Parts: sequence; C-alpha cells; structure tokens
Amino acid sequence: MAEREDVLEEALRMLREGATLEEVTTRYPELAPVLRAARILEAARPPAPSLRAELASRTAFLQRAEALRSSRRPWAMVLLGGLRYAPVGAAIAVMLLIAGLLHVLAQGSLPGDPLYGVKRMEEQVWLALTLDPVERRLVEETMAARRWEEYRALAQRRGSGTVSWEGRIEAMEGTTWRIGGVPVEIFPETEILGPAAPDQKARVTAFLGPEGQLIAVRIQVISETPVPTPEPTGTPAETRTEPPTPVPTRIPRPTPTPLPTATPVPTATPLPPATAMPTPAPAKTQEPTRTPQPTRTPEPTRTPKEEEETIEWKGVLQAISGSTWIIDGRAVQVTGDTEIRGDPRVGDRVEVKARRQADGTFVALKIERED
Amino acid sequence: MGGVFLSERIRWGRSTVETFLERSGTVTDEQALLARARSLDPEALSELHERYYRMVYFYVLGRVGERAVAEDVTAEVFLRLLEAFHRGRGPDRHLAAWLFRTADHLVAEHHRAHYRHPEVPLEEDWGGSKAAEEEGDVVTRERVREALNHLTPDQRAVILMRFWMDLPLARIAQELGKSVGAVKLLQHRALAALAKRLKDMRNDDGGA
Repeated sequence: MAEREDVLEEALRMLREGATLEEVTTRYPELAPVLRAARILEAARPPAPSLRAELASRTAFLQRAEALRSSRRPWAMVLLGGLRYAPVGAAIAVMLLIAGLLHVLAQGSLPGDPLYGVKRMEEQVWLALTLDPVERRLVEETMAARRWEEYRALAQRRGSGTVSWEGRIEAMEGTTWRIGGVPVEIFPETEILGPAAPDQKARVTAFLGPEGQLIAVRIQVISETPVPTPEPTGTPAETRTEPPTPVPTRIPRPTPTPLPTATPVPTATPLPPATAMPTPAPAKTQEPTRTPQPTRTPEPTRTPKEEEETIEWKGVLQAISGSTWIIDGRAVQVTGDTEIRGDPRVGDRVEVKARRQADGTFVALKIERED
Repeated sequence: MGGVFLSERIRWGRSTVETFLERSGTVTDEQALLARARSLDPEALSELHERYYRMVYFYVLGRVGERAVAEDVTAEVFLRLLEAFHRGRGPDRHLAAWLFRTADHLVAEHHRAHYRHPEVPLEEDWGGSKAAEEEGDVVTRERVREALNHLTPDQRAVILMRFWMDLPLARIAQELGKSVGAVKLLQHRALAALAKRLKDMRNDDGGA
C-alpha cells in the first residue's frame, strides 16, 4: 500500500515538473484515472481571493478582537481593584483566624489560666445577647455547669483532692451554706442526700475552688430529726427530697475515721471559719504519686503528754484556703501561733502537729515541710 | 524509480520543506502563536489571519463555489475563532484542522439558509464573469465542486491544500496533525474517489 502512494507521489512530481499526462500515464498506466482527476483538479483551481476581501476580513477580525479586549478590561480592573484591598482582607482573615484559635484554646482554660478571661468574656457576650428569659436561664445554667466542671478540673490539677467533715447545717443562704462552721458553695451539681434543713446534721464532701472557697460535691443529711420544710435557694428541690439511703454516691465513704465523730455546736463555734472533723477521702485523690494511698492513712500519733488534745500526722499539703489548710484530706486551722517551718507549699509533704478543739476541729500548732 | 524517489525526498527535505517550514512556522511556533492569539494579542492575530486566510478561503470556495459567499464565510470563520478565544476555548495546536471544521459548519448553515431562501448569485462560479469563461470550464469547475462535496472532510482538506494551495506533504501533515504517510493515503484515496465521481458525472451527462 505504501508503495502505491509513493508511486502516485512520484507521478505527481513528474507532472509538476512539466511531463505530459500521456508520458506519465504511459509509465504508470494504473494511475491514469487518478492522474487525470489530479489534472482536472489543478485546472479547476480558482484564482486567489481578492485583496479587498482579505483586507476587509482582516480589518473586521482585528476590530472584533479589539472589542473583545475592551470587554475583558473591566474584569481586569475589578481584579486589580480587588487586589488593592488584599492586605486589608488578609489582615481580617488573620484576625479571624487568631480569634478562632483563641476561642478554641479558651474553651479548655481554667481559672487562673491566661485565656480564662477570654472564655468569661465570651460568656458575658453570650449572656448579653440572649434576651429571651427562658433561653437566658438556660445559658446561666450552662455557665454554672461550666464553673462546676472548671472547679473540679482545677482541684484535680492542684491535687487538692476532696475533704469531708460532719457538722450541723447552720445556715442556708442562697448558694452558700454553712455546715459545721465552714462555708461551702452549693452548685446545681451538688449531690444532696436527704432533707437538708438548718440544725440537721450532715456529712459534707467538698473540694477547694479556685478562690479558696469549698465547693460541695455531696451533702448527706444524717440527722433523723424531721424538719418542716427548709427551702434553700440554688439547690434543686428534687435532690433535697430524696431519701438518704438509696441514692448512689459518687464518692465512696471514707472508711478510716481517725477521729471520733464529734459534732460542733453550731451556735458556739469558737473559730469563725473553723472546719469540723475532716476525714480523708482517699478514692478521690487525683495524684496518687503525690498522695499515695498507703501513706494517706497515717494514724495520728498522740503524744504522751497531750494524749487527748494533740495529734500528729504526715501528708501532702493539698490546698491553702485562707487560714484553712488541707493536709492529707483534713482541714486544719492555721493561726498566728502556728509554728511553720520550711516554707511549705501546696504539693509539699508536711508533718503536722495540731490540737483538737472541743468542737472537733483542728488548730495547727506546728507544720513542718519534709525534705 | 527508487533512486528518483529518494533524491526527490532529499530535495524536498533540504530545500522546499525546510524553507517552507521556516517561512510558515514550526509546530512550536504555531503553539506560541496560538498562545499569544488566545490573549487577543493584535500582532499575533494579524499574523494568524495572514497565514491562514487563503487556506480557509480555498477550502470554503471548494465547497460553496461562489467567491462572495466564500469570502463571507471565511471572514466569519475567523470571527468564530475570536469568539472561541474570548471564551477560553479554541485550539492550542493544529489550527487549520479547527478552521476547516468550523468552515464545514458554516457552509452547512449557508446551505440550509440557501435552501430556505434561494438567491440568485451575481457570480455563478469562482473564475470570474461567466461571459469571460468558456462554457466547458464552467461545467468542469461545477463538477469538481460537486465531486469535492462527496469527499470526507480530511480528504477534501488534503487535496485542496495540495493541488490548490501547493502545500507540501509535510506542511499538510503538520497543519492537520497527521503523519506524512497518512496524508499520502488520504491524497490517494481522495483522488481515486474524485476520479470515480467525475467519471460518473461524465457518464450521466452523456460523455461530455
């Protein structure tokens, strides 16, 4: 096949070079019809287009191109005009990105963290923008729940654990109750077992909040005296009316009770912020390395001379709330007469020598950091 | 014959083809030219029009047979090219093939419009005034045009570029994006089909 096309090409070349059709067809008789058709085709070649027509076409072509170019320019101008604001747009984008990052990071912040203020500011804005009363209440409840989680997380971070004591409910004002002479904050999440009312005896389990306040995790009313109907505000009614025994407890009952359960007299509490009968809550300790379980139950050794008044124990300084220090799960009152050695800090292991008051609370005589 | 063919190829290769490609541009040049034309660069568009106008004109004239119509259709082909460039379309290589396809569409549109609204052309053929032409030539050209319309677009493009535009095989292959061998084959088949069609027409006309 390729040979036949090459032969045709050779025959056509001969024709172009001046050979007559007869000469070529004599040489290539099989190509005679094809060569005759080629001759006819060449003979029918039309003249070249007129210069006028070509110029007219060229002019119309270029004019149309110019019109299309002009129609493109506005877009280019829009693009270039938009580029002028590119720095502003980039700055806004960066600010939005930073704000988004701050928002995300602030959500996990706790009181005292650098971004905690951002979190609270966002909440204030959220609250301010919520005008519907029902929704506003929901927002407030959400925020209260957040505070609770924050305080618990903070207590875990500090390793302060929980502290528990028994005492009489002296006051129930709003969200702050006074039990055994110790003010304690009540949250909606606080588990209240039994009908809480003034003068009722209760066992409190609490942890230390970021501002030194004690936040109740659980209040179990253990007095069997029927009480009319106390209605402390800020506490869910349904939790207060629960029977004391069947409610599951989130915190196990502390088994070791180093001290006899002496109930402080509510009206005659000698120390204003006194804590009553601290008992350790070993299961809630978040940092077992700092507060190891085996060493968390040091049986207070009583000195021979002050067998009934003075006890000593060793443990981790878990929190300092004003004049109340929590050492190994027990609250002890620090006064001006307390001898403090070694500049103990939260987390340090200390040795305590304390005097038990008549109401069961402890007043520290000596606190020394163990090196 | 083989020696003659070989010397012919050498001659084409060293003189005609290379000279023609240098003058008309290589494939790379065509792509560069099209890239500039795509951005509606006036210089590139002007060069493009100059390079392809006659090619399109002959192709269209071979189909419509009327010079005025061929000029109008050819001008319209280039305007379509501009529109395609403006919309971000159009070819980025083998421009001649694209132009011929567009010309085919426009000729088909012309035939449809002509069928609906018949017009009496001022010029009957592409050779000039009828009075100045011999009757036999007019009949021959009309037969050729009719025979051309029965070829495939590729066959028509190849033989018009070869016999009316005097383009070498290599340039035809470059413009249509085909190999030289494929162009040779198309040329052979086109001439064979043309010969058969012309013979049939002569027989129909009583051996005229």
